Amino acid sequence: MATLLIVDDEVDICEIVEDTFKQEKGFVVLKAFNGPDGVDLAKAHHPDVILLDIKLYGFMDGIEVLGEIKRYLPKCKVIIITGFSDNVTENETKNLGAFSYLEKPFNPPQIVEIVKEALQKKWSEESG
Amino acid sequence: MTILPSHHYQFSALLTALASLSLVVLVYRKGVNQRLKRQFVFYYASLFVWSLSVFVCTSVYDYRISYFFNQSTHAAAIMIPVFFLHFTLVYLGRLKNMIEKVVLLFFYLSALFFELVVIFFSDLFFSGIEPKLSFPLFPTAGVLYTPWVATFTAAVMIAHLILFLELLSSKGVRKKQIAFFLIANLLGYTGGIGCFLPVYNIPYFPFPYGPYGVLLLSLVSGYTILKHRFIDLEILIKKTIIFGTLFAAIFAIFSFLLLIFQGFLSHYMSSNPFLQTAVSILVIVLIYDPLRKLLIDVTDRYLFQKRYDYKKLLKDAAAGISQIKSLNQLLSLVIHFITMRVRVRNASILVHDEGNNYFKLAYYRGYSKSGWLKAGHIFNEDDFLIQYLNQERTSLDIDRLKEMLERDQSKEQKRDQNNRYNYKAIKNRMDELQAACCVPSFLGNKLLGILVLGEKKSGDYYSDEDLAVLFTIAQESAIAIENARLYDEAIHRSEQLEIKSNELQAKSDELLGKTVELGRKNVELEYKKEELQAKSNQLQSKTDELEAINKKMEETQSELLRALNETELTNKRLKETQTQLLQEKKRALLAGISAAVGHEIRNPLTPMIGHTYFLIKRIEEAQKLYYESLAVKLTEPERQRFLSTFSELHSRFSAMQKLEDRIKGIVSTLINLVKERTGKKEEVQLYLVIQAALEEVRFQTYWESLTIPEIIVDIPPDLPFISGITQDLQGVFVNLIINSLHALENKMNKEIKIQGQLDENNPKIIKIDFSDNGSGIPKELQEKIFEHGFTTKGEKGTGIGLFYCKDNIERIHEGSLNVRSEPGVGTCFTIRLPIYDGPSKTSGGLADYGNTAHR
Repeated sequence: MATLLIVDDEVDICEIVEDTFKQEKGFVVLKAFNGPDGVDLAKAHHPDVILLDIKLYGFMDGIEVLGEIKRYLPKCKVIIITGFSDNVTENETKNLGAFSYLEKPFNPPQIVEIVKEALQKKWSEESG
Repeated sequence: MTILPSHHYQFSALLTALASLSLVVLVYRKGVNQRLKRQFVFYYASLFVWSLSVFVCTSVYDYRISYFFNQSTHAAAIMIPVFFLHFTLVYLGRLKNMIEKVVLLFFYLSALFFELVVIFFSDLFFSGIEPKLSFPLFPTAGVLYTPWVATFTAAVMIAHLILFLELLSSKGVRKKQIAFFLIANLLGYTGGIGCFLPVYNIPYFPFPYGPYGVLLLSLVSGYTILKHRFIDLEILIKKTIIFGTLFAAIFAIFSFLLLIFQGFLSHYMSSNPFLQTAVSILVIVLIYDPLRKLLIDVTDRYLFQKRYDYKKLLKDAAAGISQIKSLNQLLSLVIHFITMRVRVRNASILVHDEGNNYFKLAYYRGYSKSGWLKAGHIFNEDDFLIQYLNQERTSLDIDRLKEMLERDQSKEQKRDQNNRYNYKAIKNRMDELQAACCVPSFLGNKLLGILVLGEKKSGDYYSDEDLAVLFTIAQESAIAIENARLYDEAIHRSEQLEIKSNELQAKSDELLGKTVELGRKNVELEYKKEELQAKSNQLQSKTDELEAINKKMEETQSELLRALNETELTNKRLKETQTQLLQEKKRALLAGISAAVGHEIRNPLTPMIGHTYFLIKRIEEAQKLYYESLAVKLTEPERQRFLSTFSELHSRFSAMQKLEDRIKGIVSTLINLVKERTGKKEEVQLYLVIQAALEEVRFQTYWESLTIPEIIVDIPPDLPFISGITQDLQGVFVNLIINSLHALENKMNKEIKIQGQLDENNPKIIKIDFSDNGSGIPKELQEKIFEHGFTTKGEKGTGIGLFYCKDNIERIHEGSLNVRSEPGVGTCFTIRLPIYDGPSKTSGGLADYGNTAHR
């Protein structure tokens, strides 16, 4: 069983991601609609992969969440999903250790492919 | 009803009271100069008390009340001339010599005397009050009344005389202020004569219209304050305030006229009050609107400065300055333009000197006696005026400066750190420059120049609007000035090089002469062998010298080459600055908008795409289920209905999916147009790229007088997306369009056509035909046009446009760019580019991530 956490203030996006992975076998999907909730859930459940939006409503933005998560769960794979960002932000997430970067809008097969890739990377790191 | 003299008195006195009270309140609350403000308030407050008392005592029948207000009328009237004289002296900055002080003291003492008489021995002042000349009760002159009128007249005459003398020697704004104030008082005191007459029982003109003169005194003073800043106020008067006041005043007069009219009617008509009122209302209705229009017209004409057509002014300015290359010419144009349009007496420009860090008087015009003022005069960077403009980044006009100076002086005791500027020094500098207004001109954060404007020919002030427009013009010219400066620098440098080259020529001639001489000496040496040794030594040293000079000459030559290169570089920089500046601004704005639009559309689009994806999947599953379990149980017509429903659902959702993909592509094109180039290939919508390129062309050809014809863009809406880099493709189209525009320059019917379609030989390729009906390219040149450095446009061309296009399309986009052309008929470029087929492993977001080699 792999655990997946999605952090996005857009509820509809969280739900479509949850729908998508319910159809795939072997996934538990957790949802958080803001930064602090995302960090709390991550600390409590140690997800394998996190899908993280950059522009989050509220106290923490995606960059801060990413920093926090990487501090507690360095092995966790974080995939950035974003509507618009400049090269500076893109570089920043990379330097903070994000696994990859996906522009919105994406369709279900795309997100499944990327998440599986991240999982494989993680498992191969753990076994190797 | 007839109008009696007492009615005139009541009406005008009441209005005077209102007007003078408004002036007192306005100046008391907003006045700047303490001393002047105080005297003004005293003067007009005495007018207020007087007029209010006149109103009451000409209105009441009660003996005791009327008597008391007669006393107060005169108590105020006694002070009026003294305060008038005192204010005049203070306003003119007199009251410094002994005689003036003594005279003023004399009038104060006599006023004190008469006040005591009026209060305690009023019988001596007027012998009594009685009904006369339609007044319920009115005084008659007593023993001391005539002496008082004499002192009154004396004080008024002296004040007028002083004002008149000052009027002759003053000029500019001050002259106007004094003139208006003098006229106001002349009117007031002429009318005032009418107020003394009934006391002596003389019912002749100007009786009973005297108090109207005093009303005019207040109104004209008010006008002088508002229009000509007679008394400096802390506020700028808004148009609405003036309009409101004026409207109220005129409406009051208007209602008064109406009252007369109504009285007049009652003479000739049966006195039916309803009928009279009806006719009056009709008159009001008829006159109201024309009166309002007239009023707006009058306020615009007399209270506000002429409005320029500011937009036109700016446009003209920009059009002129962008075409001038030489700094001197440009500055003369700017100055000429401003002196003509804003109509100022004199103007000059200080320009920052890059090398020496000082400001130089670069150009001036209209100075009557220039004296020390001449072009090239130098102002240090730490000059107080320049420091002020540099730090405040706003225009400075002399009136504002005076205000600050006065405020500064009044706060002198508690001088603190707020006083950052030495206003006195700034004022001195502006006086030296005969400036009424200084406008700084910035390029970025750098103070590049200062526009110094003298007084306007009309004597008007610089309004806020003026300052704003001038400031904008100054910023617009900053870019032009910088360019012109670079240009002049280049010219100057090449002149220097020419001089150096001439010097070298001279030196080389000299060397030649020396060589000849040496030769001759050599021959001499042949004959004088005994001197050979000595001479030979001499010769040796001369040869060394020759060699040294030769070496120096070589060095200078290489220096010459270096300098030439540098000149070329400067010229190039000059060309680039302007377009770069404009484009950066445009991009920054677009980036902001696109970020917001992209975010807002992409977020809801994500679940939408997901939902559609699952819907299609579910429909397919349902159809499968139907075949497995349901189909067998149904009749044929029912089966048909199911199947058609399935296929309709499927086709509708598939259409939706395609539309969503289209939105996705359009949004990402929009965003990529403004994003920094990443070198990542994405889906590109051709039509949008061409539109963006057209916009850019408009920018780039802004300075050239190229007319852009209508460009026919024929791209089917269902054409697939191209795989490419948006910014690069935009650049390719910009180059092609500009290229065509040059080819079409002298053509009558210009035509550019861009056609996109699938390549008939390969459905994975999009073919774009870019054609024009321009001059065409001769056969022998067709192969060369894509070469680096090739150009037919002389100095205008850079020779990299088409080279860039070919290189980018073929090397980066893995497409092709070809040309077919027939001289005289036109040229057609054909571009072939691959279709975008989803985020593949090589071009998608995932694999490229972390690969910074592209950037």
